Amino acid sequence: MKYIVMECHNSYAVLLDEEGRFVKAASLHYEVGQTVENPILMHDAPVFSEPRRQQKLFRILTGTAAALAACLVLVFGLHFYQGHMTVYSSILLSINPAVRMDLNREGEVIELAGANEDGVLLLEGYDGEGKSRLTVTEELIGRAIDMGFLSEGGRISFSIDTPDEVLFQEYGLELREGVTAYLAERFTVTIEITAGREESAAEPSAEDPAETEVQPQETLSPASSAVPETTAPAATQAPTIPSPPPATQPSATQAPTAPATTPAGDSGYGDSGYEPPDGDSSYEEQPEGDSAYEPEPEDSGDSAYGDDDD
Amino acid sequence: MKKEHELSEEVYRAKDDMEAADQLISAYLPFIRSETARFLGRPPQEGRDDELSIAMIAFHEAIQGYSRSRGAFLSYAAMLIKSRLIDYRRREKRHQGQLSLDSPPAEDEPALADTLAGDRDHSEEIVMRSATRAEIEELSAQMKLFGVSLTDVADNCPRQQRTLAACRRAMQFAAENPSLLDDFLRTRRLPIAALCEGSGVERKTLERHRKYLVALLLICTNGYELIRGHLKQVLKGGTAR
Repeated sequence: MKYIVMECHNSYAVLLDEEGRFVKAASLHYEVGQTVENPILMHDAPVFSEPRRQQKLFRILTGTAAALAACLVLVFGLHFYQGHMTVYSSILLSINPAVRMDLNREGEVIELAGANEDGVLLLEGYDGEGKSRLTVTEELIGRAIDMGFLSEGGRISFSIDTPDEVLFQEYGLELREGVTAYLAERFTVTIEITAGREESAAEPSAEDPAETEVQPQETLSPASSAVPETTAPAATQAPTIPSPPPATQPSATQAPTAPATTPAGDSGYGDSGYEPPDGDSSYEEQPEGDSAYEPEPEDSGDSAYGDDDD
Repeated sequence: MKKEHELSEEVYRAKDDMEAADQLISAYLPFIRSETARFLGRPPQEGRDDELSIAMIAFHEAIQGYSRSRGAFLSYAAMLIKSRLIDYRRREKRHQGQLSLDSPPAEDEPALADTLAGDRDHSEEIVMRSATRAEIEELSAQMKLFGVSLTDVADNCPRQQRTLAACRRAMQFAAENPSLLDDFLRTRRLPIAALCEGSGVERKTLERHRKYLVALLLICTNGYELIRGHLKQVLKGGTAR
């Protein structure tokens, strides 16, 4: 390509190429009017956007917005985490297998743990995370029936550990009604609801009204927080076991040695394949206290026991 | 620190003003020379070493391409000068091993160029050159009347082949309509509407390259035969279409 030198400056020259382009090039001792080949052309300036003031402002604004959004996400995320991911209350379900359900603030199950060997067995292959407490309870009871842990005349006890008294009552009512309805066509079982916390266990009178609302019934052991409730057939047995507070203490400890106190109950347990001493003792005293005594120490049971000592 | 700030202000002023850029280069010629000397390993000789001119054009590029947000100007310019000189050296390497016609002859031997049967007549070439120069001077004088300089035109020249072709089409149309050119010379206004309609080029394209079109249309008017001869390919291509 040939170029005509159009203009010469100190530091550059303007050339005209054959296609009509005017270009700047290094002035290699050119003269105006000269025809040259292979000049050193000036490269085009690289194109990049200069940060203008508006752009800076825009950047600052977007940065602030992003920071605010991040804060919001963090706050709401924390709230959600506290509401959904942290353990707020827990329910200990004991049939004979004991299972601890950890609930979040919303009352959904976030973790399940077996509290004794049978409990671990019961939970094997079961995933209840994210389900409602009642669903999990029903499913676990169903599994317990399938696995032979629970049968006619059995006993289910719930120990609810929550910092909120209102929640305790709500959960207690719900579980009692739910489980009663769930088992209505199949079994008659005893449902027992206790508070897991020491402070709530220390005042059984507070929860008594709630329990009696569900089904008015005489309390067997006013000293303990346990409020056993039996459906039709069990109710007839209840009066046959007068267990005054002083008498419960020895009976609980002696339960394995004196299984013959309740003939009717005995027969029921024998049917289910339960060992009489275990069932008996649970019938006499709060069952979770007993189970806690044997397989592993558990605070709710302990506390209830402590109360008895007083 | 303050000096650096002032320099970057000057560079930004020189971006749009070629004269300011030329002044800045004169002021920083010692810097450019020292950078070239560092590359060559010896001080460059003015008027002999092409490297100095290349360093200057690289400094121009540095002015155009400098961004304040990317650090100091002088280090950028030094880097650009160095890389352009390297480019140049690589390019020249291709011609190594070939004897220059202008290389100083050995004793009692005529210069190489003189031994060739010249296909180019030197005296004719010199006449040609001076005639072309006369035309160019005339052209730039006329362009001054339109408020356009050759440097402006070089800055305003389309980069894309497509745009270049569009501008050429507009020029073609004007060349075929002498009355349009007469009007253009008389009123000193670019007949953008007529060009747009006649050549089918988008108005925006024409408006963007106003200065370039002024130069092209002026070249189309009488008296610039030599320049037109240089552009003959363009004009031929235009008529062929």
